[in-house]
Amino acid sequence: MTHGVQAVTRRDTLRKMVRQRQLYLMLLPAIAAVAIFTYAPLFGWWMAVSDYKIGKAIFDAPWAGLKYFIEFFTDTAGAGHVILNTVVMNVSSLILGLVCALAFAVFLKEVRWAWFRRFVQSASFFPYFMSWVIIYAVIYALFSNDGAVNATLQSLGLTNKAINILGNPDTSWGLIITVNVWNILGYNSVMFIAAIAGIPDEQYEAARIDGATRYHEIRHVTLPNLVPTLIVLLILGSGSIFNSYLDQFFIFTNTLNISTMEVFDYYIYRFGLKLGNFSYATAVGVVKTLVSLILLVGVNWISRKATTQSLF
Amino acid sequence: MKRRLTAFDVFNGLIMLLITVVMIYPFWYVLCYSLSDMGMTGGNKLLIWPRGFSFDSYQVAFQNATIVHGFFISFARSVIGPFLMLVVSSMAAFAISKNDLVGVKWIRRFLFFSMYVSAGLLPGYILIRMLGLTGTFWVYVLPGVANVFNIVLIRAYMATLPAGLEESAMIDGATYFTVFSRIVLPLCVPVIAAVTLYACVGQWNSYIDAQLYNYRNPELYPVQYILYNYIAVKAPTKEASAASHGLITTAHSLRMSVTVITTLPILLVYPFLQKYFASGLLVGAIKA
Repeated sequence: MTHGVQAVTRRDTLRKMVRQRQLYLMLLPAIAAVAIFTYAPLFGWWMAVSDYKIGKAIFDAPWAGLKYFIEFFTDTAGAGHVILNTVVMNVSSLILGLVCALAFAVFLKEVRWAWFRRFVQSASFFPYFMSWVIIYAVIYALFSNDGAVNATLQSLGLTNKAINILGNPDTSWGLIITVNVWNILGYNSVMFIAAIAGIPDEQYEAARIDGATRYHEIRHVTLPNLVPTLIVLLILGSGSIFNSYLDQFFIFTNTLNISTMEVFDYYIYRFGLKLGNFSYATAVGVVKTLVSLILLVGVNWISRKATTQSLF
Repeated sequence: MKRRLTAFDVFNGLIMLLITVVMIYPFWYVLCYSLSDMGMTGGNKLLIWPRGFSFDSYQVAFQNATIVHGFFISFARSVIGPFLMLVVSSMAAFAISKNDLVGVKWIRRFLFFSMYVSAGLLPGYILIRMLGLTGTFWVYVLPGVANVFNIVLIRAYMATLPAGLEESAMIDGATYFTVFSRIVLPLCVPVIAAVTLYACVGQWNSYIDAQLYNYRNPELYPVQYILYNYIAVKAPTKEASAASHGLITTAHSLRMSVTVITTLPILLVYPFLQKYFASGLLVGAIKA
């Protein structure tokens, strides 16, 4: 009896699928592309647990166990600085980037003249849409040894030796954090500006009736309304604390500053493609991906418990 | 309730002006330098306005066949890449917006989960090699054709369209594909324009794929990679060992003019980029 019903529903489902065949056809290219370019490379993780040699078939590589993972975690002289650089630069950039953008959005709202507000906001986006090559070219023109800033400082007699911030291990972190905050300010502030626009006018009116000054309005109306946005953006960002843009670090890292500039993504590039140690570099990549996933899920869980704000 | 102009307003205005200068000046400086007379730029000071005026460095750039070809490659990938992405992603967005599609839940999970996993640089590199994409133009555009983030954005926009339109068309015997191409897609122009524009900028700005997959094929270098090579040759370490002074000056202002030319296309679409962003179209969809 139930057998017959199942057969009927199965036939119905099949008939429905035939009717929807055009939808499947429309999905096909996307499914294929995601399968090939996102999921298929996961098989390459085999390289991390085997002794892979470039040019050979991946699955012919002999089993190596966790050798490369152990190498990464025990050989701290090699990798310790990479973890430190990545985390320091990314955490600082994330937090400072969001806090500065929040402050920018709050004070932008206080600007009286609408045209000026629009103008400043337009300008704030500008660096975000530039490639890292352009950004480096511009920073290089200004801040390299014979760049305009050094030349001007020297001609004013403020320094007699060029200050090199692009190839100096002491300035790497500060340079990257500053550049990131500068680059992302406009992008981040859009979220906060949208959140401010969503605050009901009644809240401000009520505050004014109670005699609130503008400082009070910012402190007790605007800021509390922005906290949920800030938390969501922090959660979103925390998943990428181990990820850097190779585009950016490929160009900012040089032989002079590599000790404080090298991040995971550059380290993986260097060991894999420059030194040809695919197995080791893949193992580092696997660690990076897994830690990122755990971090995202963990922060999301904590946030859901503590503040009811969560992504999933 | 209108308030009086206070000291705070003036101070706040000045801070905002300062932020504007910090955002724009570095690019303005490069523009001024590139337009300066090469003979006069020897001092290399901070500029507010070009010193002298000359298009010489632009002439040098446009007479350079490598650079011109680089622009051609960059334009090609900025047109073909977004176009393919748009076709693939919008069709997929339409299909997964249908709740009665058999298995749609699994298909959505399959697509969405891909946003959170990445096999990493090296497995990706091996795959591209195995597919034979190394040393071809297609390595720039094919890996990005199914942009799941854009699929999510387009689907979120489609969800806001009135359902009645599609239903009546389906009753009239239209196929899914007709409904998609004739009814839904034309209504999605705002979101389509936004994601396409962002894809164009993304393509225009890429250079690392050329470094990874095409560094042996100079005929496939996009202009960003050519500019990268101009900068990289003169990395901070090799600074001291530069050639004669005149040559440096020329190379320096050529770098500046190529930087400006490379920035121009972005500047042209900038009002639109900003419009879609500030209007909250993308932000709203991200939240949805």
